[in-house]
Amino acid sequence: MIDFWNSEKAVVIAELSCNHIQHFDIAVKTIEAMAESGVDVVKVQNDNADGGITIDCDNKYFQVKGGTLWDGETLYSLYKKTDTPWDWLPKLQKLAHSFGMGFFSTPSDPSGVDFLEGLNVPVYKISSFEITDIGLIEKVARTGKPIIMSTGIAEEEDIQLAVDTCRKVGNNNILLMKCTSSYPAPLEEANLRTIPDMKKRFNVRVGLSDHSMGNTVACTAVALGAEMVEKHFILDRRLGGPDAAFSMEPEEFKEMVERIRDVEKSLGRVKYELSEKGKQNRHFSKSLFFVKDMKAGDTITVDNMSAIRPGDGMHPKYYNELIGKTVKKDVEKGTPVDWKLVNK
Amino acid sequence: MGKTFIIAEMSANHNHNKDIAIETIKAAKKAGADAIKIQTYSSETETLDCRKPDFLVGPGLWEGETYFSLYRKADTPFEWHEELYRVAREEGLICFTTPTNKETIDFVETFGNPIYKIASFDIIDIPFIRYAASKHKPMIVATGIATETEIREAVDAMRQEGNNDITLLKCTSAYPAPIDKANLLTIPDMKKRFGVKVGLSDHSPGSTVPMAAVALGAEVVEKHFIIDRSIGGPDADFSLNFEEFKQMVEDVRNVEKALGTVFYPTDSEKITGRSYCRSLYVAEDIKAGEVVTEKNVRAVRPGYGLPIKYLPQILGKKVNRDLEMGDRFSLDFLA
Repeated sequence: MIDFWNSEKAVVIAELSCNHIQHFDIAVKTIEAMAESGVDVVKVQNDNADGGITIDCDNKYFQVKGGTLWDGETLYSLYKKTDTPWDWLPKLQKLAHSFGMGFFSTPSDPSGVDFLEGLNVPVYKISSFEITDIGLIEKVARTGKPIIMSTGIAEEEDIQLAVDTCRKVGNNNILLMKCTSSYPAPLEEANLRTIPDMKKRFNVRVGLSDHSMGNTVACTAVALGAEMVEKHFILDRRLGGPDAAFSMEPEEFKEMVERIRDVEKSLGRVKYELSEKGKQNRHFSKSLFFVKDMKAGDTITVDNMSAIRPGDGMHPKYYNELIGKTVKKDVEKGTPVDWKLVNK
Repeated sequence: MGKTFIIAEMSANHNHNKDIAIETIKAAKKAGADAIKIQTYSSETETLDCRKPDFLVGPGLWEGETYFSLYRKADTPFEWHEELYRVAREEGLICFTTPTNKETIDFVETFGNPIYKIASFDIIDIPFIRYAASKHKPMIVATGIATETEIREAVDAMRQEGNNDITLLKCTSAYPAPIDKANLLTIPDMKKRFGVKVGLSDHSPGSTVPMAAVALGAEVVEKHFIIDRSIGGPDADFSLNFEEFKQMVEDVRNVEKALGTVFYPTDSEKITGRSYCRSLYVAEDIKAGEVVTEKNVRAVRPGYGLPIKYLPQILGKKVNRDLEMGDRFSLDFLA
């Protein structure tokens, strides 16, 4: 199974979220489709509407508003819909592992962490909305496992506090994900230049949690050094559900993974020396040739020597030096210039 | 940073038909290019009409041709030039050229060629580069076949002519170029190492390589453009057609949008989604004089209440008024 914390390639994480629309068989089919789409790691969420994430209250504070996809719901009704029943998690974990994929989850309260410890998950994710929940972050950090944190709604100060909280308890396996917490996220809000900055500023690993449509943001992030890319996955957007509108279908996801792999290939390494292919094309360079038939003793002039293609003759930088010298023997038009043919 | 300067390279994709050349310029504009580039040479200026082994093109797309026959097929006739520059100007497109010797530079100077591109194959022809640089126009130089030392010599030569408007293009001189030979990480290195602007001259299919290059700081992207690959010609195989070029421009513009700036939100009230955070709320009704417990004040969504970090300092304290479930907790409520 993939050791995704130590992968050399960018790790592609598919977020199941509530895209199972509360049907276990859809959750299973979705994970099977993830495996076919080139996903490295499956991520789920253990929210718990009754276990402390919010309270069942409909006063103005608890109404979802502001032009989101979910306006009109209360937080309680929304989280009720988006729950992934916890008794599914061991089964989904086993299924993901059977395909060689990793599996982890986003807990949203301490009981979620305890539950996931029981499943022996290899890493934890702290969602954007939880980055100010210092108690939760500390509890996760104390497990000693790597922590992935989304930074969508976080001010620089919030990020620093979260990172410091992990380090204070001796956990320095931290990966910060740049994330725009709009659903779906417009390209203009991606500000991906923050990714390399974040790496330097907080001295951590970096990644992307993306809610934009298409694969441009993901590919650009990988070019900028993102080591993990997370995106919502849905079997079919027509299933509906709160996250459908910004989730990617299997074909789209597969295309994104392929494109990310192409970006990785294209990055290569810093390289100036020529490849064999490049050397072959060196024939198209110019080099110095005699361009007229000459007799022994004739003087080399701008008329009988020229920098022309192919590139197998003498380097053009010797042009000025050669003008005015004489040739040792008869040469035919099309002969590459060679010091052996020239009287010094 | 400004927008990426996207160049449509016409090369031999006019197939020796002036009408196609003019149509290509118009199509490049429609596809979103910023500039059209042509090539100024004739087979006579480039090589000898000679069949000695040195003058036969080696393995690859063009095997079997002599250099002379290949360049004859690929040239853009001198007598078209003025009209092509004029059509581009009318379309609002910058037209410039890749010259290959002093004479062709002198020729295009007569109608104000605005930028000089030096082909990969010519980066080692220092006297020529020097002459082009002496015209004090921006220089765009491909580095496909050059070693680091050769790039350095070319850059130094241009600077010695007092020309510092230099853009080096990372370029894989294979036609078509496989993606895994692109080594795009060289782009930011080149920028630092030589202190110049950087870009990409690409011969790979599709738009992935240009997108990644722009993410890495490329300010110029050049790609071969053909109206329709079925017209054939020596460069058709690795040229993008109209739809592909248009898609590439769109993809590059989207990358620019996504790059944005280094940004950490600063006004927490305005940050989209902040309302989904947890904060401290009254979770059960509390009477004045009762103490705050982990049960009656909890960190829950939404995020408008008291920040969670205050929880340790309010636990066990008495409240000074009656509170209802769902009230935002506040430090003012402490007795």
